[in-house]
Amino acid sequence: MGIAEKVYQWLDKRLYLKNWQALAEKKTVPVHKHSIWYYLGGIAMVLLLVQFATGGLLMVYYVPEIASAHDSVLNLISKVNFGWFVRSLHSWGANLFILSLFVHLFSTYFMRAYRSPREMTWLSGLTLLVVAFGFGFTGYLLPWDDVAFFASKIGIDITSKAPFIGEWMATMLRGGAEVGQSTLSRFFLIHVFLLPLGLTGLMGIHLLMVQFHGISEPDSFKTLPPEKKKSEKFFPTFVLKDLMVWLLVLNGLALLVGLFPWGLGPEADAFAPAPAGIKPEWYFLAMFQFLKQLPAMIGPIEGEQFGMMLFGGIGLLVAAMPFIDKGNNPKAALFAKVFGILVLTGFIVFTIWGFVS
Amino acid sequence: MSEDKQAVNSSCKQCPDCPGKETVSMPERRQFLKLLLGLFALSWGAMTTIPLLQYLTPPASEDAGQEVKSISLGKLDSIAKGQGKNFQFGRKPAIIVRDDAGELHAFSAICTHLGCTVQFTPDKPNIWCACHGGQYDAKSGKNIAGPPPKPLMPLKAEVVNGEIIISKESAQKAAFMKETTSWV
Repeated sequence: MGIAEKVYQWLDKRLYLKNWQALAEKKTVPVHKHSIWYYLGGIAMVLLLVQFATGGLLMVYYVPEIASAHDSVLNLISKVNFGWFVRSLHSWGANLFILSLFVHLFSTYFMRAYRSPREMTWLSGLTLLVVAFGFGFTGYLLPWDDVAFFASKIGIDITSKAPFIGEWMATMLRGGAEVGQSTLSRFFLIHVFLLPLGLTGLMGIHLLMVQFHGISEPDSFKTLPPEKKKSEKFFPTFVLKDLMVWLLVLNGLALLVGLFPWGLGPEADAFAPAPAGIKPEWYFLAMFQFLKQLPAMIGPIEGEQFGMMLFGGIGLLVAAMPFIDKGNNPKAALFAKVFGILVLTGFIVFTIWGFVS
Repeated sequence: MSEDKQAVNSSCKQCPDCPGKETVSMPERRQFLKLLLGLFALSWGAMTTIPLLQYLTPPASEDAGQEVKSISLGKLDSIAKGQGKNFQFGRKPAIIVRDDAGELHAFSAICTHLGCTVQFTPDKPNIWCACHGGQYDAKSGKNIAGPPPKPLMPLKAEVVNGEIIISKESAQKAAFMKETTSWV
């Protein structure tokens, strides 16, 4: 027995390596014309790893204090070796991460992967998207530049419009009457501690569910005769393909970072007017643009509140879809499809409109 | 009587001190213990959560009592006719506009829509919010376009010995407060 084999045996006895390997080999990936969408979850995961790594590196220089935060980021991107690179990786990575989550969400939605027994996978995935929004929202404020300052102000104000607990939540986020040091401290804590903790747990559950239920098959594949159903092993076949895709994604990220390094606006001034042309990040842009179209009052309620209730309703319906479209009612299936197309189209149209206006 | 208890009783000879006869049966005891455990969990949860929430609730600001009543903005000619500027009033942003006739109008610069800071746009001439395009009349502070649901909170602007003095006007404020939410 060679030394490597001996080490393996020693570890296997203690860590049950063979069981883990069997678990990894158990899963198979269906091969069909929509198989490309199976890569999205893995892409999101690798981008998340980039966020963890670069986020840790940023904390080496970042100072979460309002008089120093902006300076510390400026120092990081202008003086620290590769500082601009790490910071841009984090900012671009965050955007690509959320983009990959959106594509993952909509592709699984249209492949109806939410149906039984994958309801919990669906719900944990949606919660992960909300956590990702939380990351985006809290992280945006940390450089303490003027756009970030007003974006946070607006975001917190929108939170305060939520019925019953809105005001309380806004105060908890703000840490006082105004956006200031307490807000920065709280956002920092949420961004670097609370959300990573929640995200790690949720992702564990999400991946465990995928392992339990195996990869979902779309209807077009399920109905094929067994001899026409092609599939490949998740490990090592699909994982090796995954690695290639990840490499492409990382290269794409590096290219974006190299060509378009992330900028930094002027330092926030709590008493200066909001800068002209202020817009939220692209993933909030559709909501922003939609809210902008609403009149001040719709009947007895504020336009903003109406908009938030509408978004909340859409979110709840998306979350409830596994319990509406169970796969046994063609009408429900059609409803899910039309609703999905409407939401996706609305999202794209309002995002583009927000960009150009 | 539960099945378990019946089983115990039928298998023994019903001695006067039979444990199954007088004492509480096992399922009932188990239920009671479960209830107790639930109560423990609940009270422990509350004992942890309530102080935690209280800890996270920010304390009242120390200088809340020392509210700024009025400030000086310097000489009148520091603001040309048809111009406006933002300034700090206590802990809040505020805005002053000097109209073409030379009259001064001051307001809180907090947009009543979502709390952004508004600015004067001389070309309109209105008070405008960059965040969602809300517009206010520069003389009255009235919301005239876009999403703002209420007018800007007015401040009193007067000229004393050639100097601009901005202050909160209590009567005006009281009237404003009646129809809008608080801003303090």
